[in-house]
Amino acid sequence: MRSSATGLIGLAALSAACGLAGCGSSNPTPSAPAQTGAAAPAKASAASCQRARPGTGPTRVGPAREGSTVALVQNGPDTLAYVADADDNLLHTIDINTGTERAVTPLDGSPAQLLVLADGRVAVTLRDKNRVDILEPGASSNDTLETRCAVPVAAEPIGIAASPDDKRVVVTSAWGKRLTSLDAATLSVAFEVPIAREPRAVLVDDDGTRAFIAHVVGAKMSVVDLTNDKHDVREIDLRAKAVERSFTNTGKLRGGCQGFALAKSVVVEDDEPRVAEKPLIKGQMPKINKAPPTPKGRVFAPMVTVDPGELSVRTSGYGSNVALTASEAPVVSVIDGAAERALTTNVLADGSRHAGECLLPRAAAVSPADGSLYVTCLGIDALLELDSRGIDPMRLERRRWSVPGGPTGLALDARGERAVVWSQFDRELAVVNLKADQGADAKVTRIAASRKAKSEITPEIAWGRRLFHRTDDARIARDGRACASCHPDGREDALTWSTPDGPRQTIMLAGRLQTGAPFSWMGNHDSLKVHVTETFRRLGGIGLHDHAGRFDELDALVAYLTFMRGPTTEGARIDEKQATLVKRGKDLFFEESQGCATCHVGGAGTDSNKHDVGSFAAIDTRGGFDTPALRFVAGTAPYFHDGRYATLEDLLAGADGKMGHTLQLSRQDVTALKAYLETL
Amino acid sequence: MRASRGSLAAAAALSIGLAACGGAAPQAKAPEVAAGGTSAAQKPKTGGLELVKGAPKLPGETNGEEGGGDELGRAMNVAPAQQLGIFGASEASPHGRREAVKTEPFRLADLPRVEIPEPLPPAQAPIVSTEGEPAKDLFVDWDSALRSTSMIGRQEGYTSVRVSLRGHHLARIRIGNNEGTVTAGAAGGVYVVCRVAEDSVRRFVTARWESLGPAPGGEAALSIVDAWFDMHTCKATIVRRTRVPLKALAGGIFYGYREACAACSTGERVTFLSPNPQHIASAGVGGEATTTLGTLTRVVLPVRKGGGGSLVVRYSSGVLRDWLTALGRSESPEADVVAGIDIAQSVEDAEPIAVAYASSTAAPLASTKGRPPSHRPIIRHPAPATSVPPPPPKNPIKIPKPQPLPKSELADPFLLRSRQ
Repeated sequence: MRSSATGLIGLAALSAACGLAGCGSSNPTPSAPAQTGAAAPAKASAASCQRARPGTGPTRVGPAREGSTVALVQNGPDTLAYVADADDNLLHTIDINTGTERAVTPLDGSPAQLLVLADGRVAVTLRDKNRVDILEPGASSNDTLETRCAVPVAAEPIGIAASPDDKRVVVTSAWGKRLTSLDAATLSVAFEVPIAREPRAVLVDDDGTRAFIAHVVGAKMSVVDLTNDKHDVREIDLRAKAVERSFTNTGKLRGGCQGFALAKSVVVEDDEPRVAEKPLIKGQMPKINKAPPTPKGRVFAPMVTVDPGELSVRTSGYGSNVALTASEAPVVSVIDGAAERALTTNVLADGSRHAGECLLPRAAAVSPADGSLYVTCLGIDALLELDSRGIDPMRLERRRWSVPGGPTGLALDARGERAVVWSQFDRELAVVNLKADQGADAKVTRIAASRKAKSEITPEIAWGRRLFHRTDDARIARDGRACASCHPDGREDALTWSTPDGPRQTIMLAGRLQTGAPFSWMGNHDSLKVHVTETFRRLGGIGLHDHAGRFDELDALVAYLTFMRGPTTEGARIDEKQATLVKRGKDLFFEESQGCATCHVGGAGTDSNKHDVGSFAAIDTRGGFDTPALRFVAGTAPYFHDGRYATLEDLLAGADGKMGHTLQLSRQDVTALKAYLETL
Repeated sequence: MRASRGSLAAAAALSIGLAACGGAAPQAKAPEVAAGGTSAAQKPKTGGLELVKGAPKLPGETNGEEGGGDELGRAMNVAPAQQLGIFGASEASPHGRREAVKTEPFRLADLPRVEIPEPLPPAQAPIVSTEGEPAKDLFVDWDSALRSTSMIGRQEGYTSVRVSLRGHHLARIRIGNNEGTVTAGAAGGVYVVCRVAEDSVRRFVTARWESLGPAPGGEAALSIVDAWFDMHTCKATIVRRTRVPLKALAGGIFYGYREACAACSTGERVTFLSPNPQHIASAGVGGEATTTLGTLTRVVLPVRKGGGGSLVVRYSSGVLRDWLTALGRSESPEADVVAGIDIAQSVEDAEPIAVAYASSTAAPLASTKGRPPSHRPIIRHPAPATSVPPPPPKNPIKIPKPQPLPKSELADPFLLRSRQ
């Protein structure tokens, strides 16, 4: 599965995309960029990617080598924050000393993360363009950045990090399920390896030999060897045993979700004067205390452990009926980096939960000053300070600050005295003085960033997005869950939940709801508003308000749900061999002998009818399921309403005769069919 | 401005594209910017983009700084982060908010390392009599004694007599194979057989009691007494006393020490003593954590490279208050407390990383319902001298003071009872 740089052709996915367009799908095409005015950047080459004016302009601040939506640089007396504004495809340059926005650079796509390279260039992952753009700053803090080159990578690049020696840059591709290693100077692709689904944050260990990768779903972390020839990929199991029902260790393993962020421990040298402890007995020599050390070689993965309930019973809502068990319990999983093993083996998940839990962690960083772990959380819009010495630092929350809505990025200054948080929903940068506990100095400085006057994000969509990510809202769920808890990034948590109808697998929302009626597995609801209302009812929520004469919150939520973009493979790096396979798979899909297109009209579409495909199980209330759209089917495992098939191969083999016919296909044809499905 | 021709073209095209889009999106009012915010005079370079400030807003929409929400940016002891006031309508969760956690990192090397002798070996029990210091704090509760019904008509034996300790508030006692906890007023203890025949082959059994008490400097010490218990006279003779210095952690909730352990990979293990918990969970990574519950709860955590152990406990405020008072500490928790200890040593850590923590909790117990959440502060360190003592519970459980027993009964209860 490993593909070498020479075996790849950039932009070859176009053929697959064109094939899709020809399918006549009624679904919208993969999300198009909001703006097309930005100049097409030059292709990557050693010359074009390097700095045109080396040694000028801002330079990186601090030892951090991990990407985020915000990064700090220093340009003379100016401390600047570069901000990746995913809504408006902008890169803001904000002076955090004066609170002024110095420049706004338009980007060619939606930026997911940015990383300041050693020489001051800025690498930006463009999520909807499937490439990494390299930008060069000008000499002045007021200058916009200039695009130097662009590097195509696998679909949906998000996480980016540099090695400690700054020679290597690694990029995760969420939809493409790849880690791409680039040469930091030339941005040429060194290698690319497949990894588990939905990767997000990435970091490189202190000796530059391994990359650690967080995954949104699956409660796992990938480790990729960077230096050896094989580039082995290993996975660390982050599931934890539940401590619930009156603090007893039940031994039940909890799955996980929301693995968006990563941080690694920073060894803090003890330069404080030693404290002499008074002797307990007169005449004894005073004991010289040595300050407790900070952890070394650890990786911190903020996430949420999940208990979707017993699948053998029907419940009144989604998940367990037992109030003693928390469906969602936040945790920071601590990994022993050298051993590649989780130290966090237990998680407190009893029913005596608190409000204001961090159920949607999005960014993390470790302070170089004292080793504290900082985490930003959507839903509660807060920055948390955690003690990184704990086996589960989430239990050791020392302080928290309210920050503007939607904190998706975090950066700390070189001395760990200030934290800078980018809040996408409010379009504001928050500067937090970490040294001050109380008083005026402790107040967070908010710096408003510009947005396009005619932004794609309308006020209604913006409000819907807030609602979608809101935790602890009794209108939505009784147990504090947000919509985004089960649908991170508008996708799905890869879990099967116990429900009143029997076990049901979470469905992906982003990019699938525009023409998706009827809704629910049984096709019960003709309108999205009705379906959402019923979902809230099952979650124990009391429902959203209709602010007559002003706006209806349900309308706002539905507007966001239908606005959410799905991934796109356009422009992504793809293997030529894979493209051939996809073409063969498409032919098979539309052949009558297989019969796939009879119900899945046009490939990704649906006939909007109910069918009994023999999937009824004893636990189900009734059979006959609405034909689901196959759009983005590759990223929605497990399959069938009860998640009985872990992979597409299992599905194709197991559903023969009940849902199309695939038994007559050779193994190669099944692989081709799967490859085609993965492009839908 | 050093924007390249490409980026300029991009910006221009972008602005054209935007203008062509039409549609009169309402201009949102930019939120107030805190000190140092962008002023109108300082327009950023935008490459020709048409820009406005702040997030788009719906008519009547408010956020944190306007009505209803908490003050934004206040450094808090972990509290309000709900900032979406919706026309004043609050839909806050009924659950209490988490209180700040006070963490206390410590070095295992700073815990006293002690050599606690093994309990007396039963095989070396004396046969006829013992000589030594009598255990004066041993208390035999003859009121609890049950007579045996001997087949040969002799009724001087007792199958079950409660034996406890006087003057010990936080203690454990073990006689023979029975172990129990001891609380104030000589409550608790263990039941043993008394008045066995003088020539019984199992007349003497091993006894050990451990008692926690205050020590100078705010610390505490564990007194361990090893003795032979005479099941004929129901008295004990002390063989040796061991004093174990302890280190207080988390404001006196935990007391820890290190102990030699031949079977452990590191040659030692760590023990923490704590009050009787409502709930407790301990776990080991690369070893097993063991818990012995009681008024003197003991948790032993494994310590090893590549592993460690953790302990998380919930205490009722009353139990914790009694514990702290008994140990001479001034802290006075007013709400239930969740506390814990984490110890872990990654492969690269030169020594174990250890931290103790505690926070008050407003969340009701998982097993109880209808309990209103409270927002009481964390344990005060230390309690102010002028503090008002917490009000008594509504339905206090009255514990009668222990009544001194008649001397004659203490002297020879068997004779006294046999005359009745």
